[in-house]
Amino acid sequence: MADLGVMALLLGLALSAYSAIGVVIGEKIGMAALVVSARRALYMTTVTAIVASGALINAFVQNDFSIAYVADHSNTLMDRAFVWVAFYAGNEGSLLYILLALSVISAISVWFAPKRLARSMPWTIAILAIIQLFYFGVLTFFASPFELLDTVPLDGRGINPLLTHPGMFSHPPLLMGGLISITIPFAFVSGALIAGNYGDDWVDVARVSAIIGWGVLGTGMLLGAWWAYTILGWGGYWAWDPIENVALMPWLVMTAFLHSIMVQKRRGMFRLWNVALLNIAFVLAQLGMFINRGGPVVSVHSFAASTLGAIFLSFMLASLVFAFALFLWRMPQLKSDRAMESFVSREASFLINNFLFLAVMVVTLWGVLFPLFSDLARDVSVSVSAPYFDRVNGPVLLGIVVMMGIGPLLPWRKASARSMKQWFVWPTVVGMIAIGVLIALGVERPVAIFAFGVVAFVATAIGEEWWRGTVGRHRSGDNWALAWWRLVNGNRPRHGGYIVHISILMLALGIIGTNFYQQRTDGALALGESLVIDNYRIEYVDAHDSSRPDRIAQWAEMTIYRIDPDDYKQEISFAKAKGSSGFTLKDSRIRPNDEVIDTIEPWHGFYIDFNMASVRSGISSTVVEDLYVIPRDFLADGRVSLAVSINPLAWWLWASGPFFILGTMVALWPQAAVERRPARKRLIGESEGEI
Amino acid sequence: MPILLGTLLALVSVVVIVYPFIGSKKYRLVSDSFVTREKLRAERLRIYRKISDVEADFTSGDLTRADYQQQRDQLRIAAAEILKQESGSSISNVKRDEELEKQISRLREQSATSNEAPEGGDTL
Amino acid sequence: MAPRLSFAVIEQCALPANPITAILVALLLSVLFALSGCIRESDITLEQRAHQLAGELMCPICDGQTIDGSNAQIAIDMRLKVRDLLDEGSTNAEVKDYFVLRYGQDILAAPERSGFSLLAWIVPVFIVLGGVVIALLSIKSMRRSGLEAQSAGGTSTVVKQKQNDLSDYLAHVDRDLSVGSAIKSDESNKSGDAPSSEKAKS
Repeated sequence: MADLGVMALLLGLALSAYSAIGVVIGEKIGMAALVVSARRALYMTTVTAIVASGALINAFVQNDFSIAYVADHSNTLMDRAFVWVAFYAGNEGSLLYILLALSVISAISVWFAPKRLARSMPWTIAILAIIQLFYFGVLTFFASPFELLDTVPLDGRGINPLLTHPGMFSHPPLLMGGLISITIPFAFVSGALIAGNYGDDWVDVARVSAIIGWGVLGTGMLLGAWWAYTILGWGGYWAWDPIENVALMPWLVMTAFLHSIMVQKRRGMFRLWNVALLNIAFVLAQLGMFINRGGPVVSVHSFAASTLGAIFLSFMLASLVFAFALFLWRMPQLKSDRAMESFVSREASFLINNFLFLAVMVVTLWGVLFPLFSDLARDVSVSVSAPYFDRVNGPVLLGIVVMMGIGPLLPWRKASARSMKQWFVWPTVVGMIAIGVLIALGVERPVAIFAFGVVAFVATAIGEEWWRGTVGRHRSGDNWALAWWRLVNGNRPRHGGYIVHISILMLALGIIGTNFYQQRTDGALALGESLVIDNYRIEYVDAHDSSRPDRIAQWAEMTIYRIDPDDYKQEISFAKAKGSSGFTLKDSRIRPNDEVIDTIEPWHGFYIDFNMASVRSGISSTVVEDLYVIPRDFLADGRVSLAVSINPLAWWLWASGPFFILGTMVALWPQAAVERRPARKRLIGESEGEI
Repeated sequence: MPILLGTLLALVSVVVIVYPFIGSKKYRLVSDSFVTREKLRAERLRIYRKISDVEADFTSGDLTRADYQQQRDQLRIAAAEILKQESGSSISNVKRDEELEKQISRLREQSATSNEAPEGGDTL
Repeated sequence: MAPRLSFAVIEQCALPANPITAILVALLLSVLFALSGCIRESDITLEQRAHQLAGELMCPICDGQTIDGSNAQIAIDMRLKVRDLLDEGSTNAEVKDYFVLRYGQDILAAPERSGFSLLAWIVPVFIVLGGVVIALLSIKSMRRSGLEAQSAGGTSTVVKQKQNDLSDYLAHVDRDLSVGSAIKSDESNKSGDAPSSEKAKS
């Protein structure tokens, strides 16, 4: 199988080189057959990438340990379902996966490209082919997944235990696929610019392909956060780790792009700006690839560390130079049709929102690079991690949420004072009521209360938008449901966007809750003992062994009680005196108001070969808060050492996911064309058989 | 066996990329007039979309009636102007292309007919 | 004091003479809020403080993790040390200094706010403010060029003239539009003297 894989990659290398050169020459000398042939070569690279991937997967299925990559990332004990995960568990495989994703989406987007882009397609194809050429080259010469071992081992090393989780079937492929898919809109825009097609012809293609990539990347990040929360036992979901940051940065820029492209669609403005955003996003995606492949910063994600840094750095710099040069070359031609009429308009608010997104991106980049900078400038190494990013990005992100409420309420072009007051009254009132209620309830932390107020403000703004639109349609005769449906249907990008906004609000709720109101305690429990925190009591009922040949593993059976703190007055005051947030109960006596609400089964495993521990947290989740139990270790004396936290509103983090996907799909769903074709044909007499 | 499969893959690739040169179907680059027409049509559809957006804004109360009518009329005129261009370019080109077809059918060796027709709708 | 402030922000956004100013005010205030360190509560337990500090100290042997999130032995020991120091009555700063002395600057998860590292904190403020200022300036310049262009736009007589010239095509446009239009025909019929769309089917 290794031979087949190597041959397929070599073939892909040749085909993509031929495609890039052929399509440009063919177009230049007007040789149509060459253009067609070169385009088909691009489709064939997809076939070769699929064959190469198939060869590698087949090698995993057959336990072909003569291939170094297979021996390194699986063994006979591995559940066969994880073959798919093992495929991209290491550096070489993940590069092959990225190539696979890139070639498939390239082929699809070239196949479906609208005919009006015929003049620029050769350039688009050439760019796609060159990027594929790069990956085929890296896989052939520097990081071949089909490298053979001199002596074939009896069994492989096994898959990284952290990856054996259902989330791993989707998180890495979505993330890598999302990052690489930014190539598509970039290739279309660059192709159009090279060919001198400055109008809005590329807008729809770029927007659709950008939304797909953006949605995939966003879903991938959310799944990653969920995976970290349930399995890694960090107790968190987002660590502002360099690898997370390099995925977040292009996503932020794409978010900005998806907003400002609406302005270009509607008002013919921001052309230059949109091109710039796509270029930035593409270069940032290349930066992500570079930092993922043995870049200069350390990360918890270094599953795939390698020495490819220099190669990817060069490619990133090359794409930076290309994007920048192309942009400067075509800048004079990229004019706006119309101009801004007022500061108080939707287009102005989109521009502000764009700059806020870019600000978060640049600040994050600054944080990622500052350690390098500090090292170089004064030879002192510093760390820049979560506490820094929370502080510097938190306020700007809140600002973006504020804009999310203001922007949609502003009409295009300009707002008259009357409509302004009318539109802003309700959201403001509701926001203030929310703040008032929280203060009245004695909730602490002004920043968080303000943030909740903002969330209420934005939620009301979206609700108002839907309400008024529905009322308007209802008045003209539709029933309520139909009216709302027509409203959403009439402008899917906009209302899909609102659904995504709702998911972002849910995410914001979760982030505010877990960041500001988390309670934590640590403790070690013997069988029959309980840990009490706030109004929860966690009783350690039983321990079970689930060791396998490759791991020492146990899980604990625990019962969660909701308690009345009055029953535990003495212990609570004692714990307070000691400065603890929780305390351990030695007896298993049930107090009068204890009430069983859940059982959890936190799991802890130690993988001998990897010298690595992996855990599954026990989570008892409600809409209000999660009781979250990480088994840090099963101690020699039979006790289990626990890190327990109460994570308010964490449920909302994960509930936002389906809304995010739904909103993305709604925004993406093609709008029915507003045209009656037969009538038009009659009028302009278009002949059927032509072209 | 893997070598055989690999060779087969290589052969298929060669056939696929050589076929456009030797196959019976001849190719012609997409004509500028066709691209222009496609572009005009796309632009007109984009204007239609804008009109329906303006209508939605008006129904939702984002636009006053006067603004709505003014914007809508501007857009309708823009669409009509494009439609005029479309029919102009279309008619003249159809005639020209028909001439071309006749010539081509006379000189059968030279490139005739179409670029691959099935490739691509305008769904994206 | 702080909650009242946030009311003021909301009111600013609410009935703005100029919402952009309101946004700016809100932004600035939220920056101030975040920097004012109002997270410190007096009744916070030592254990909470220990966790908070653990989140601000890096684990020396794990890549990019704080000792709060790591299960490595050294992280466990460091967490215990943090708690011990707090029990002895150390302030947060003293605890951090203790670890910086032993492991160096990079044990801190966020750079210090002094000396060279102050750059790490100041630059973002300039980035954000600079970004907003650039955005406002570009809106302003786009506005100016726009007003000039607008004055050259067509008058209503020109529009009428065009409507007459293009009446065939306009009728066609309206036919096209009536397919996708969600608006009732009686509403759109009122729009001027242009030939308007007849709803083909109801």
